[in-house]
Amino acid sequence: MRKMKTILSKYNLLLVLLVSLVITSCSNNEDGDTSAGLEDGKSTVIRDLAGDTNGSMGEGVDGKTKKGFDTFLFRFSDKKQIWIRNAADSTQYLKTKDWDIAFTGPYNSEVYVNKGSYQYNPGYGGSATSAVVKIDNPYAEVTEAPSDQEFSASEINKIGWAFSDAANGWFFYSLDTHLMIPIKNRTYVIHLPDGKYAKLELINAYQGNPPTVTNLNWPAPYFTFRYFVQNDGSKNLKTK
Amino acid sequence: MNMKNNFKKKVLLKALLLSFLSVLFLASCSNDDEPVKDDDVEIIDDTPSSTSNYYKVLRAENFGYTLADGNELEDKAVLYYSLVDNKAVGSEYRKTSRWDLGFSGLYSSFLSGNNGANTGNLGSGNSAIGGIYIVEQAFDEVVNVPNDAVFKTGDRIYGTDDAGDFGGGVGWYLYDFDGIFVRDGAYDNAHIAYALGEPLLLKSGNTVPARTLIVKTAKGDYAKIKMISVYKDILKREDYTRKSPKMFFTFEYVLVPKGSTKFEIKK
Repeated sequence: MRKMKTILSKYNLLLVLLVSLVITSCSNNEDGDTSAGLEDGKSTVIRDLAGDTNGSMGEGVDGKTKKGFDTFLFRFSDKKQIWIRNAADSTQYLKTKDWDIAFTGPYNSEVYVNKGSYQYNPGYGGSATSAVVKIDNPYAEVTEAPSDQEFSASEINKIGWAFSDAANGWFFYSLDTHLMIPIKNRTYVIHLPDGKYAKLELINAYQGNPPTVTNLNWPAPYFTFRYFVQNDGSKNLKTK
Repeated sequence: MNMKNNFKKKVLLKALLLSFLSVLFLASCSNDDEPVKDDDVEIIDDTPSSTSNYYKVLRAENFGYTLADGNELEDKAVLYYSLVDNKAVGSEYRKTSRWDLGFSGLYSSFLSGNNGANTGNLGSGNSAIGGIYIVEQAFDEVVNVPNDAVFKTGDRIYGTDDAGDFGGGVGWYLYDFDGIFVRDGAYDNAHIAYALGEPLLLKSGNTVPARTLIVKTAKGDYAKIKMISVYKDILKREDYTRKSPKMFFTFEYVLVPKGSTKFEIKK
């Protein structure tokens, strides 16, 4: 009997150990609520900026009124969202230097910087010569913009779906759940149309910036992102 | 007696639970994106490179598999092809230099070379020295072998083109999700992948120039590749429909030996 009990308690201990292992082993390095801690006193944090929520991919999606998604532009200096709904909007805004990033494509999830020389850039034909470099480091730890040579050597044109770890996008797409999974600790440094340097973290496209999404019908696209523009023209991007 | 039996039962139960949990624990952290590791099976790579395939136009036809209905986003299959031998290579040879072109990612449609030095490469750790590159030029116009520095050595390097949906830069095919880039948007015209071996005229009036892939093989030879179709036995673009059997890669290529500077055709 005594022996039995000892064996049992050993098992119990192991069980507890294993259970806690199972529970902790797969948690990501997300420290609780992902929304907390975005503010650093210097960066601009944008929460739940609505994209084209009436748009849809494909046919007959319930509650959606149209196919495709309208592009919108965003200007860092005054947080202005500019919609491109028609030809007049296009003429007025696309080829100007009045915007810094554009949200295009499915669920507005494909982001461009303002670069007139690339055929598929919304600003194609315009005079803006933005460039962007991807840095796989946490936003706060990116403290300096890379050299101008690095910007001109960058092959990044579109920041959207990352089809591999090495790809330039800001999210993975789960083939099992059909959900977007934002990539952590990835920062984009941008040489803006006005010559200033900025850093950008694209954080989520799901409403409320939930740490994880399991429901395919979670409201989207509502963008959470943060950025910092160095207004003195230097490459100093320190935000802490 | 009863007590004892009960204890035995409990021990058994706990043991069962334990093993169940261990399985869970082991399974819970496996990453689906990670290819199956079969490194334990050591395959000695002693096949000499074929030399009979140099300097001529070679063709691969219907290389691939049928994507199951309703499971069109399946990306588990990774395919391997030997350009040197012009044949499919089984995945058990992943860690050898017997293959030159890997097909992975979504629809197995993202291509890569075989390179052992890049830890992200399908052949990571093997002795292969390959890579892949793409140019916005027609197959026949690609004459010069590019500088070795341009070859990219990671996994899933070239796939969808920015001219279509879900573009990943310059790619070897255009994906038309709604069927409106190339056709009228009718049901049958949606979800079509257009290989870009030839220029492609869009509804917008623009033409997407032809793309040619250039591969440095596992052992350092060079190949230029014209991607023709991903549909089984259907090579003409006008015959593609959303239901056409895929992914069956058909492509043509020219192979030249290590050290070559030109893609010459002598035969």
